[in-house]
Amino acid sequence: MPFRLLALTSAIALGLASLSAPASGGAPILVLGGTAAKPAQALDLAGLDAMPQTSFETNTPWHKGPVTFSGVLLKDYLATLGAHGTRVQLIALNDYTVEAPVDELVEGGALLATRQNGQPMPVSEKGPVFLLFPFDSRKELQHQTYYSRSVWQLSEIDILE
Amino acid sequence: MSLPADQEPFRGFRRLRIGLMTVTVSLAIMAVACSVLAVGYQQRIIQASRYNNTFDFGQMSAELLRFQLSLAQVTAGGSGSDVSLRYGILLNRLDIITANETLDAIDHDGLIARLQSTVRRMGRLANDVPSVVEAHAAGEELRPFTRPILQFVSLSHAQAGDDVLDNQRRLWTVFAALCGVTLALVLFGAALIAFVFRQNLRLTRVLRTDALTGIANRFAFSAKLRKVAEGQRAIVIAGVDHFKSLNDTLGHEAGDRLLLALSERLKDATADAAMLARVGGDEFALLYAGPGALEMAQAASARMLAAMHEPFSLEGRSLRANITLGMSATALDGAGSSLSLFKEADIALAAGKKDARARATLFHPDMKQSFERRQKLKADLRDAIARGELFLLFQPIVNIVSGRTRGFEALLRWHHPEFGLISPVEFIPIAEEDNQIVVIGRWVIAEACKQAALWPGDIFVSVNVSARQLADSGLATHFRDCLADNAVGYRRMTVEITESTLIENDDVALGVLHELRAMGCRIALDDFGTGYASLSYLRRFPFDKLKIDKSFLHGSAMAEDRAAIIGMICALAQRLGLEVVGEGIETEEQRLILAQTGCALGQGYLFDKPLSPLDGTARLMQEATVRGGMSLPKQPARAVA
Repeated sequence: MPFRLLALTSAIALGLASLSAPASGGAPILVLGGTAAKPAQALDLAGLDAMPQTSFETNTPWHKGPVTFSGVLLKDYLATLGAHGTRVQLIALNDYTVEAPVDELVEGGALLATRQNGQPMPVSEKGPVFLLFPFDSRKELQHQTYYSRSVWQLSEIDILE
Repeated sequence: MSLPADQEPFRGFRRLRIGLMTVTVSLAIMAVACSVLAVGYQQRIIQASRYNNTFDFGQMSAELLRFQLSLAQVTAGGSGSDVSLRYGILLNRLDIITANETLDAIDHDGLIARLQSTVRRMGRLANDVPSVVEAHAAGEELRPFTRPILQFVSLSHAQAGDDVLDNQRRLWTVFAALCGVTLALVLFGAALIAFVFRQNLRLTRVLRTDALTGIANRFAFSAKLRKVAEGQRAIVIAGVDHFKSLNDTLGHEAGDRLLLALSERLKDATADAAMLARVGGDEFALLYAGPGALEMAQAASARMLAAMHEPFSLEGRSLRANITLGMSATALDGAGSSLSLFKEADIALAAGKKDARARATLFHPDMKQSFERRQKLKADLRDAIARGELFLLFQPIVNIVSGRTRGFEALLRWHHPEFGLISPVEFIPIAEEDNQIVVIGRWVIAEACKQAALWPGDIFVSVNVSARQLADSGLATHFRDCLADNAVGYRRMTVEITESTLIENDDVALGVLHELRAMGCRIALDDFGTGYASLSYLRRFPFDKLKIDKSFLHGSAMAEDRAAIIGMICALAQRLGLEVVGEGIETEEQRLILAQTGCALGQGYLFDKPLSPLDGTARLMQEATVRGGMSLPKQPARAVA
């Protein structure tokens, strides 16, 4: 199956101190919380776009045919925000919640997708943030473990420990 | 009598091969089946977890209710800020459910599709907060779905339960099949191992058993000898007398039957032996071990020899067979290797075969020496012609009245470089043993012809021919070639055979003799009177000459009796038109007896000893000068090439 992973190395330095509020004035779409040391950090679409971008094409159990997703790798997201943790809780707009070890998510190539085929995703199409994996790239990703950790309408990431 | 040993193993092996092939093919099929089942099993497990519809449907109904709640809040005067969010979430849920390929099988009435199209028609709610009227209308539109959707969810939950059960049943079936196949594989493997072990045992047994007689073979006997290496031991080797000629005359099949019957008798006679084995074509070996081994072996030998008294009956024919036994035993202290013991018994057997047939001969160290001498002679004899060690002497055969030379008997001698002159009595049997006699005999014929060519045309030459030489169908041609090459007349050649030569009614031998006689050669019966059936021989073949055995002259009987017997033989010979030669004449008295009874020719030390070719020629020349009228070619003039 066609699969493409593009690392867009447009790393833009961000003023971390100002990240407690949306940087560019848009509605916040993803909140990083749960860190004892830092206050919750909410980002809007532009804030996510400002991070290193990655895209890949993959099939999913919820789409007919391959789809190209682009956004920030969870790894880059956490690194950019200076967040450290071994375990996170992922919470969606519909209150869907899963817990997972950070290592496994990062190792699986988890992407915080903000665009599907180049277009921002509305809530009705699993947006605005869809955490998913490049399923086609590795057979072991095509498993219930990774399907259940693929959280659409992701709104909050809590670092548990 | 049947020979079951001939066929059984082959049938067994064929069965074994078919069995092994069947097992192998079955194992291969099972392995493939096992793989297919395993893959199927894995796929079932993956499928069972992938389509967890119940959760999706449950989420969908919850989102429907939350969306309805948000609309109701607007109707009740709330802000309605989360209407578009709930709308988006519900729409996404419906999209996900309709993307599920298994939906059609569950949702027969198209309920979900209807709900989806209803929700899609409210597209404006995705962006704007609805008015109270709009919210109310939308709520009313969705209300009829609430009940069927919740029913659908619980029904599909039940359905999922059924699917899970069905899946579990299938899984169980697959798993049971997998277990069955694995169990079968294990059983097959175990059976195969057992089979291989059994066959190995059987093979070992076959390897150690003589196929013909069913008793142990040489291999097993050697193994036993290696194992029993201490204490008193005795070995007996039994050889069947004249088995080769029995085989030749009766055929190999009859020979085999005889061996089988003989082995049965040996088995019965030697039940106390540590082992009885067939160690060669016609040789059986026995091992006795423990105190008194030699005595036991001797007692067994007596029993075995006694067991041969009764003739064997083969296909209605009665047949006598004798065995000769060679025996060897350790000293009382049990020193010495079993292998050398076996060799000694073999030597004792060879010695016994030479001069004590149908008896048991115990090994004596002297035998080893004579055995080794015999082995050396046998080896050296092969090159004796090439090295010029063989030569001929010629004993004159004379007119018994005048003493004048009529011919010579060619006599073979061997001058061994180490042992000196070897008696023909010693080396001819050795030559007979491994058929060297055929080559040597041809050489004798050629040499005798060369010599005869140097002598006057009325001097004949006699050559002895054995039974083995007569088995060579090219012998007559060889005689013809040698005589022709040397320009010696066929009539000058006398072929002497002994009575034992024709003991077997051999067509080839008789054919060769007839051929030779037809050429013009004379055929003489040597040593007449020593065999069992002398007179009957005269009927078997039209001989030209009779040589009366010297025992008639040297025997213990009174002179008159001897004269009477010799006179009778001569009278008989004259009636049959045979020339008679008296052999071994040493005294004038003996010459007179023969001369008076009408014997024409004589041979013996009274006239002359065996002479060298030169001396033979000298004798002829002397006769020629004394009696006059004859000239001889110069010795050694070369004969015609």
